[in-house]
Amino acid sequence: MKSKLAVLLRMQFLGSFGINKMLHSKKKGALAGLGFSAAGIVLLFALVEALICLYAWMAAQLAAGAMMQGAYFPVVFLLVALVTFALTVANVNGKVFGFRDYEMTVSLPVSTAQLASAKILFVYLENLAVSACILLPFWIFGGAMMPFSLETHLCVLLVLFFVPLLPSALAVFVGALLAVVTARMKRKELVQTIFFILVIVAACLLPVLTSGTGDGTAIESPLELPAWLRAPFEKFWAACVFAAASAAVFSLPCVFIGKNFARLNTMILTRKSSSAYKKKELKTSGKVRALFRKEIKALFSCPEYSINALSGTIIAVLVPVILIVTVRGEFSDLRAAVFANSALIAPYFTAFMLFSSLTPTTYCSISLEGKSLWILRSAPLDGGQVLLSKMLVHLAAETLPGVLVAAVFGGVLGFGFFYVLSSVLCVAAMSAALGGFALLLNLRFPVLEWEKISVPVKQSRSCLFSMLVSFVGLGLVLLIGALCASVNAWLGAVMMPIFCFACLFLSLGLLSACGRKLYDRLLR
Amino acid sequence: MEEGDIYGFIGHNGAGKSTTLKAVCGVLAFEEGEIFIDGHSVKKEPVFCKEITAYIPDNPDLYPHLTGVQYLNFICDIFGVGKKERNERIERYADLFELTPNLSDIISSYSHGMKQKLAIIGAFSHEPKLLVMDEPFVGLDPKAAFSVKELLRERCAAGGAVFYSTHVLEVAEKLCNKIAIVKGGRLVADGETKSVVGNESLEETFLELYENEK
Repeated sequence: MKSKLAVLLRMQFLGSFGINKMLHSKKKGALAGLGFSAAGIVLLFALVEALICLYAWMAAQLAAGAMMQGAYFPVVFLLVALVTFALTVANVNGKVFGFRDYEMTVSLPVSTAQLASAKILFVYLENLAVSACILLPFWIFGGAMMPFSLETHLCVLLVLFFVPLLPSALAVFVGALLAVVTARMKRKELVQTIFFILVIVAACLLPVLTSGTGDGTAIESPLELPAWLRAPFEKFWAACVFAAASAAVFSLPCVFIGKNFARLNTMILTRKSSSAYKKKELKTSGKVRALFRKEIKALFSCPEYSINALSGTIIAVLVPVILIVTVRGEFSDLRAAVFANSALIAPYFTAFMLFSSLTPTTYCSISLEGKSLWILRSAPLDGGQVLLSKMLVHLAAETLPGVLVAAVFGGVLGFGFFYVLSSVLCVAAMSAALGGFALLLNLRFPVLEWEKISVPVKQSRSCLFSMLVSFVGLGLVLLIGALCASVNAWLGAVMMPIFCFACLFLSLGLLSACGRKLYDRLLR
Repeated sequence: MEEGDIYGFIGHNGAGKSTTLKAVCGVLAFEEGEIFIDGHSVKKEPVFCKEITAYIPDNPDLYPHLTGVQYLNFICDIFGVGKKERNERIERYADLFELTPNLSDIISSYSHGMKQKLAIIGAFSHEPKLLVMDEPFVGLDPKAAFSVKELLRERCAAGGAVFYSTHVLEVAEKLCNKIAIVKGGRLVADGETKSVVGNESLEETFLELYENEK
């Protein structure tokens, strides 16, 4: 007989990726769709892994060149732990607490300790998979370029399994606290979104801001780490201590939340916001403006959606800031170097600025209508108005910041006017084009019957294919720019916007030709 | 259906009631046949037809992230209700359904009945010529159900019409001047309530027709 914990974990796995639903779907071509999705996942995984390998290779080369062998693994593992925490804390509410089938689950003859353990263990397993995907390339490249001892490799293997425990446990605690504190707030989703964005920003900025001395000057070797941080990667006994300590810390939320599972969930699920309604004059607005306002509210009231869609924008804004903060005193040197090599650096800068549109807001905006789609379908609205409002949100939330950041940082970093203009045009056209492609993909692969918001936001085919299209678009911009710039300095700056505008015309053409038809086919 | 009609649509589960209602209000596309509202084709002039129609589904899935008043304002914007009218109507209907104190709350905190009331207020806020309602009384408290019936009569007296599905045959018998019984996607009886029912109750007529059609 299977243990109850194993049954609970299996149920979570089956429900998590929509596999069970697809396997048992009566729709034609469900299995083909599953295969298609699997191929897409493999391709996206390969692309992301290739990107991680590139970073790993660069980091290992840097560490080997700077003789920072001792700091390599601690820094990499620390950064992964920070990222894991930042990503997990946003997903705890709805996964460990306040999940849809809470009432059914808690009515089962299973102890709350087992329920909580199954939920938290699943969070750990997800984090382990993510950590392994990031850390393995770093381990391989690091091992190839630096002479690590066998003991260090054994330590890394052990720490790899235990490193997600601490951020998972901490994220569960912080997530629970945040869910309880905001339970009575009217705009709790907005408060949570802002908090999660701040956590991501802090996770990005923390390593940079702490790499200086108190008087603001950069220290000679920022990677000279304390012995206790290096020990788990140098001594096997220290790795064992780290593993045992992590397991002990991880058991705390399992025990605490197991004991207070029902109480915590009751607080989160039953506390309702209440604010007195004051009768006031209501303002009128046009149809598209009303739709736009609704879409903006939807974007910022769902933490999972806003973080997924806006994380690229945050990275595109933060990285130039980090770069400027990091170089500090040598900024004028950096500026001069950028200005002298604008033709070669501009394609990389432009491609990086396109990170702001890596996950366009449109990739799941149709799916997010879900069961409420009847409101739009029964309203006197033209399909074009609905699609326009969704595109406008993408333009306002991702294209506009991308364009502004490209213009401001392009100028600050020392690109010439011509290259800044080229970069701005590229970001504007390509970002809008990616928004259009993502909207089309969502219209083609909508998920309207969902219970958990993570299904349309993270586990849908439109999410997968939109990211693939964005990666390919970004790669092509970089490739065209780099190839042309190697032939002629100005050619790259001219060809990149031409390619981006061609993509924009293709995207808008497809949207006007098929968008309304696909919209009308929804709910058929 | 004509102006002033309250048309009840009755049938067993899966008979095609909700599908028909959704096709009428343009939520669901249909490939065969035609539906006309006020002389306009739902297929050819969908936006015009929707402007004079309101739909209330059986399960009111509204935008959970909006407050009640934001939802109503959104509906009024989409249906082009003027500032003065929307203020008056929202105040009147929200007071009638005792929802005014909750209008500032987020819809996700509403109960099923409160969502149903909000959907009804939204539907009445633009004074549609045709009201299409799928099981409108499910989840409503007795007072709200009474208010809805009164509003339906009022709407019909003002030249509107109501097309609604229900399983509550006693209410349908009293409220509707016309009824239709549907089975397996086709009509098995329709017309004036009195002529369909005759001397029997609607429940007896429905069960009889259902057994005969087996």
